[in-house]
Amino acid sequence: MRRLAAAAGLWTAAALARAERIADMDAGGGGWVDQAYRFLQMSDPSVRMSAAGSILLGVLCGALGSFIVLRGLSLIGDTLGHAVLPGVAVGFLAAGAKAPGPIFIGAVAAGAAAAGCMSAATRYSRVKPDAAMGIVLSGFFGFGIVLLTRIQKMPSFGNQSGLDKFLFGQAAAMNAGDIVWLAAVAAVCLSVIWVFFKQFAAVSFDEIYAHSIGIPIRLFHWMLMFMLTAAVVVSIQAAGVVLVSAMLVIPASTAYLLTDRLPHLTLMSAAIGALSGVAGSFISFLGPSLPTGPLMVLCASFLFALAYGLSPRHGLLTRMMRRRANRKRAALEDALRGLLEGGGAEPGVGAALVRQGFAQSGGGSLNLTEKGRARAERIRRNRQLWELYLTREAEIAPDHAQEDSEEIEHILGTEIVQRLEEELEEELKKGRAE
Amino acid sequence: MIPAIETHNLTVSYSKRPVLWNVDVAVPSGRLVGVIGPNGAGKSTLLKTTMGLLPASSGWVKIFGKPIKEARRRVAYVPQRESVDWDFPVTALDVVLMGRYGRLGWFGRLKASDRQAAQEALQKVGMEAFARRQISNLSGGQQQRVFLARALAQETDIYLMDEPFVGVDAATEKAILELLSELRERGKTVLVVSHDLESARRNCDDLLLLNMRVVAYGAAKEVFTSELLQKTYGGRLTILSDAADAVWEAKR
Repeated sequence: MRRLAAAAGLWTAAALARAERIADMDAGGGGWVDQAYRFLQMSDPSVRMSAAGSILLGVLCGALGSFIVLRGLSLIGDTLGHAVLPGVAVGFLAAGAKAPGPIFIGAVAAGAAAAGCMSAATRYSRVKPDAAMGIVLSGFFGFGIVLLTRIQKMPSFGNQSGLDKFLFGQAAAMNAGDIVWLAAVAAVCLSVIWVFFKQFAAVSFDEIYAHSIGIPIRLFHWMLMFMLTAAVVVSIQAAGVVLVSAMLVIPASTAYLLTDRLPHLTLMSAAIGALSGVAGSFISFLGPSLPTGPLMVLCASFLFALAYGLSPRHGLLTRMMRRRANRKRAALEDALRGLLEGGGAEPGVGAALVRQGFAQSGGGSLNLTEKGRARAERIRRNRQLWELYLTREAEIAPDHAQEDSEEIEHILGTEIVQRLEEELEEELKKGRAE
Repeated sequence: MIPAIETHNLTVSYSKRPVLWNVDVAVPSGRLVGVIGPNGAGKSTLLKTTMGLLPASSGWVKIFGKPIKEARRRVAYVPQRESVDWDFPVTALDVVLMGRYGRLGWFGRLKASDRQAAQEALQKVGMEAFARRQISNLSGGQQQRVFLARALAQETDIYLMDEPFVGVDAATEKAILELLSELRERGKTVLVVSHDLESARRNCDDLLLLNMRVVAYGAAKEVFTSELLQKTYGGRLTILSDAADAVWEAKR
């Protein structure tokens, strides 16, 4: 039921955007403030169309991309993106106009041919997969550019063919027919992912095991490849052949930095894709000569950079903060141990100890509280454990062991300490007996 | 009685070079079998071919008298730990739940009973406290236990384990050995590839000595002889040195 609802939603989005042939955005007068207002109002059918198109594109590429990135197939997306170009040109020639149907068929055929060439090149020769991808990508792309240039020089089409938009993408160049195709492909692909999510997850994580429990791995591999081709084909109109693979790779990689659960990754990737898509088409709407595809990719890259810096789990900032906290804790623990052994503490660290209730200042010197003493004794014991382990088990010279333990003793978690205790139980007893 | 696993004249090859030669084995039901042999002896290949993951060039494998395609639900496979990307965004519980996917068929969804079975499998390997951990945050031994739990969640009659003892800590090794004996008590058949000869002799009922062909198969105390071990581990080396000599001659 939910599956149906999702599909229905996509179709409504397409229907909303259904309107007359789109106006040429590049000729839109007025400043960028007017254009921004026009976009946000959403009353203009052409605006609705490019917004719907870029959202659909972002969701589709984002969701598929999550599997592409996890399976290490990122470069295949790039190869397919380039390789469908001759198919687009042939489809155009066959129909005699920029008709989405024939172009879709031509492009999917070219994508399938490219995939076939790649697997043939690796299987029947000693060419490595990355080289095969390079050959197919540039060969097909070169052929596509030749065809495209010829078409644009033909008197019957001239510069009106609109095919130049396929190179770098123009969301505003999509007409209602294009959106319907995009929505249809998105509806089919998202439903397939929804229905077979567990199979795609199992095959992506552990293909051999998936095979062993009876999942037809080759079928699911080719299903993914076919969806990938279809998604690339319907997206190149807005994103361009050169950069469409970025919409597969970047949102998924961004989500990969943010979550540790596969379903969340897929959903988040789709959301990030949609956001980048709509932001890209918005900015490209603001002024003349702003190509949509590159702008979408720039927005996606910006979001990736944000996640790279700020991700709560894997971000740079988090790591820096964790390191700082560790350093602080190390200073604190050293001071505690120093106090236990009758030494003093630096004023800054001493104040921190008092603040946290580990020590009290009295008569110009610091005294450990009950809590502080317990903590300090634990720290001393962990350090002794570690030194014992290094000298007895790892057979490292005692003077070296001391140096090492200075740095590492603050990092040992309770889990490692527990294991040390288990392993050294005998040694500890002996030590006490002596 | 029908053997749990039976191979006849099984030959498997990669790009024309045979890895397994004419392997004839019949493993009776309820045995704990250690598969030992040198590197490249075809131990993993035997497991994978039994599971139908690699095609046989000739011969056949039968599981309780049936081809593997009809008996998948009765066999669980535990691949080598290095075969997957442990950075994959799943938790330990997610991985174990995959053990239930085989029974769900094309369109089935996980039910409460599947979650229950997965939790129990995690408990059996002592990993219930780590159910919600992302798998890269587990130690090597813990990862291996998650793999075993995934196989347990399949609730099968036969378990094929590829080197479960590699790179695990002492606690995990003990846990795996306990699990193996528990499985045997419940009448399950287990094939376990191992490099630790002494442990294999002590803990397994039967041993399969493999070096491209079956050197010996039988009760552990009968086939664990220095003569047979010599045959298992010595043969390959002489071939290898002969081959190396030939290459050297050819290049001169």
